[in-house]
Amino acid sequence: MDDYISLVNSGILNLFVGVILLLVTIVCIIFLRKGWSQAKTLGVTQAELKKIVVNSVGISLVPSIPIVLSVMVMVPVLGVALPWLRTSVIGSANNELIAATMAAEATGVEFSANGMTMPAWINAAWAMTLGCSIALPIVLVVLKPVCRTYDTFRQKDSRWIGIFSLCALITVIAAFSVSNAIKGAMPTIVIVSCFVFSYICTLVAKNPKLKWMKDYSFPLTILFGLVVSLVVSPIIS
Amino acid sequence: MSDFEKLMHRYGRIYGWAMLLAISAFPVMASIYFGIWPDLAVIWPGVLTMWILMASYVLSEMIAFPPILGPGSLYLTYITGNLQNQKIPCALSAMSVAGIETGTEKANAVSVVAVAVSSITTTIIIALGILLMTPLKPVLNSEFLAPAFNNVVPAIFGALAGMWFLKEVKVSVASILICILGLLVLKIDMQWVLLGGIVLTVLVARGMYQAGIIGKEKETDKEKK
Repeated sequence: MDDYISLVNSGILNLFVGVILLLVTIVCIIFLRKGWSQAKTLGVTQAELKKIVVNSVGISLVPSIPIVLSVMVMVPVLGVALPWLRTSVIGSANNELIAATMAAEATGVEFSANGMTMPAWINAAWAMTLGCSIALPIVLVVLKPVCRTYDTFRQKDSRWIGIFSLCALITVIAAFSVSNAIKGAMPTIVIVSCFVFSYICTLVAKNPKLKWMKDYSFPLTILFGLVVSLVVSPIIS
Repeated sequence: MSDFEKLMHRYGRIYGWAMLLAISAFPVMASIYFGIWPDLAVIWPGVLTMWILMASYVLSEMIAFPPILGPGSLYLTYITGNLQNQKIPCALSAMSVAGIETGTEKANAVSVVAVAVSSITTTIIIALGILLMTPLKPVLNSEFLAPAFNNVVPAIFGALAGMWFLKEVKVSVASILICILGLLVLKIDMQWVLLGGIVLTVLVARGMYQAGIIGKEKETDKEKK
């Protein structure tokens, strides 16, 4: 067992993952610079862009915590390198866990700190990579023709395509909200309270003195939802 | 297609394939290093299951997201993952902060900024989480904080609903009813509800648009300007 853990935590694996994540970060910086200069060309001010950066950091912080928790669940079983890579790029923690568990069990071992073996780990690494990376090649092939099709529609009726994109957005939000709400009372209360709080923030932000609320209403609403869940959860249970 | 969109497609494809190759190199490198190769006969059913599960989601996402976010942020999102819980909320919040409508050139540009910043933030947080795993473990695993961590996604979508549903109330009500019907009454899988929901909501909105019920306000706004 000690051999297994020391093997899957070997420095060279961690170094390899570090290099891959550095490359991904460089790609993000390249995109960031291009997006930034394009936004400025189109008239988005430096101050607005700075607000967007602060907002994006704030919004990304809280959802990162469950990802870190998933890594903590996987590390005792799979070592540091594999969960670190798979949760930092492409994959969602849940899918990665499903793929790893299926591979381990198909190998005939239990997906636990004591049950794993090196062949099972190799199978899990391949299953996670092959199974959970499929979305990216599909997008790389399909996205350009899809965008071209939308462009054709946009040229015909730009106002309608605006409504179309709003319809798509509203449906995405509605579908995820309903799918979370039907899981129980607690998520329903959180969704409804966040909806109301967000609306109140929008109303408050109409006051010229409280205009700053508009910039921070989204992260504030998420924090409000989390506080609601902490307060209401003991009462419900 | 604008020059920026063309550039994003070119960059997205080049860097997307390069990153896919780099990420896929990890198990290859591990197999060479340990001298152990996978038993493909054992793992293929699991891999196939994941492909079926994920392909249906990507299909619906490819209908839903390109008109909202634009290509640049989508390529980056699929390289770095966490679409629904991080990248979409960040991009939408960025549009709201800058007062930009979805589907415009400006929206495409600020989405790229928001998604790139979000990706870098998440990479740093996960790395810090691993470095500080031992001291953080009791805090993150505490029973007191568990309800908060379990309700991050509902909080995100409640907040998004508050930001966007009231922009077209009639369409939003129709969309919510369609999703409730699909998920709660007919118990259809999420990815198909997403796909069917978009089609039905667009059809309802198209009817409203042609009848002049929606889409009028923006025209008046433009006239004022």
